[in-house]
This record gives sequence, structure tokens and C-alpha cells, in this order.
Amino acid sequence: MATGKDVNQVVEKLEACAAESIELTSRRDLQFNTAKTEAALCTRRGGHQKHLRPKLTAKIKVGEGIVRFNKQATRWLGVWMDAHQTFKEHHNRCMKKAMAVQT
Amino acid sequence: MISLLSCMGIVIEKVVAELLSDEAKRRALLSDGQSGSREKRSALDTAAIMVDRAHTAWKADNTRCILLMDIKAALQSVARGRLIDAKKAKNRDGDLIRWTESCLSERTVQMVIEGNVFQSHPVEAGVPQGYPILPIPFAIHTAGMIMCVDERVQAESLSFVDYL
Repeated sequence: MATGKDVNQVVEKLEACAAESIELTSRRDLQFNTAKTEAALCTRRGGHQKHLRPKLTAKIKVGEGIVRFNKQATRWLGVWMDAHQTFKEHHNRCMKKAMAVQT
Repeated sequence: MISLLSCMGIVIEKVVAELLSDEAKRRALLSDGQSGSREKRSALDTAAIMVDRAHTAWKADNTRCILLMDIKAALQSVARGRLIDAKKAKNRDGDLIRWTESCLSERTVQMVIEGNVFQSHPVEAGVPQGYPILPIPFAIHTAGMIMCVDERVQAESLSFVDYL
């Protein structure tokens, strides 16, 4: 996770983070599964950070590949996290599963 | 490779896993962001930390982004020698190092398909999935990397050993 004043600054940090991680894992005989690499932008609902929405198209260089921010919710450790951290998506999916069991 | 252990083997491993976990805590061998093989640190706790950090960033009118990376075939890829060297370098308890080394040594794999027993082969790399003890040595093995990334890039890493 990285924090910055704007998306470009954070993307730079994430790229540096990815480069360091890839280098350090290779020294330990490990490697990342590039197909599973994802990025998500956390934006406050409405107000101040409306201007960040176009930045969802920003590209993050991870190793030899490029990763873009997820436009939909991101699943991590079994939790569906949406950009505004409202967990509506998680709630909806849980409810859908529960309703399927009930019927 | 999923390993099937005897009940006694599982009991012994659980005891050693607790000892390793206690030692890791006592000697601060793990990064604060590591979860999944540690007491009272569940997946939900880790997700909650991420949400909390996002809210903190918003309060300061900052932007928060996350990059999710998955280590491929983590347990299978670990070289035994490197795992043991990493533990020795961290000045760990000698008995626990020897126990882990013994646990990972002289392992063989043998396949049985429809009653046909194939020749067994030595396994030189990887730690078998199914051993209760192994997430902790793996977490210690990767702890240095996580701390190093946080220090160099001014980011915060959260890692979770998604073991089973």
C-alpha cells in the first residue's frame, strides 16, 4: 500500500515497490504470479477526490507487464473491497450466496 | 504436493509451530504487516488494517493505492538450504533449526496410480503443503524482504500466508 498527494506519486511508489519485491523474491528462489497481480485505487466517496476518477486509467509497471487499477471491486483475502471501501459489493455477494442456500 | 501426516506427527508439529511462533514474536523476526500464520491475526484483521489506512490517508487528503501480488507456488518453491541459512543468520534457537532441517531432509515422493506403485524420488526443494509447522518458517523467510521494501520505498506491505 502506498500513500501520496496524487495518483502519479503513488503509482511511482508502487512501481518502485514492485521492482524491489521482484528483485528480493528472486534472491529467495521465489517468483510472483504476474497473472494474479492487481491494483486498486481507494477514493473517498464524492467531494474532494472526484478528480481522481480519470486516473483509473493510470498504468503501473510491474516487472515486464503493465497493471491498471481495477474499475470494479477487488477481492482480497475473501473480502470484496470497492474503491470507496463501502463493502456494498461484499454485502451483496454474501447476501446472494445466502439467498441461494435458502431457496 | 499435499502431505499426509500421522496423528502423532501433527501433534508434534503443532507444538513446534507454537514454539517457533513464540520465538518469532520474542525476537521480532516478523514484520508487523505479516499475518496468516500468527496468533490473533486473521484475514479479516488484515483487511481491516487496509481499510483503516485508507481512511487515515483520506483524512490527510492523500491518495491511497494498493498493489496485490501473489507469490507463485510459494511453499513448493522454497529451497531448503536457503530457508535454514536464513534462520541461522537470524540467530535462532539451535534446536529449532536442527528440528526444521531434519523435518525437511530426506523426503521422497512416490506416486500410486490405480494400484501401480511407482519408484520413489528424492525431493530437494519445496516445503510440503499440509505440514502445520511450515507457514511460520516461510513467514520468517520472507520477513526480511517485506521489511526491506517498506524501508526503501516508504510503502506499507501487508502479507498473508494463504496456506490451505
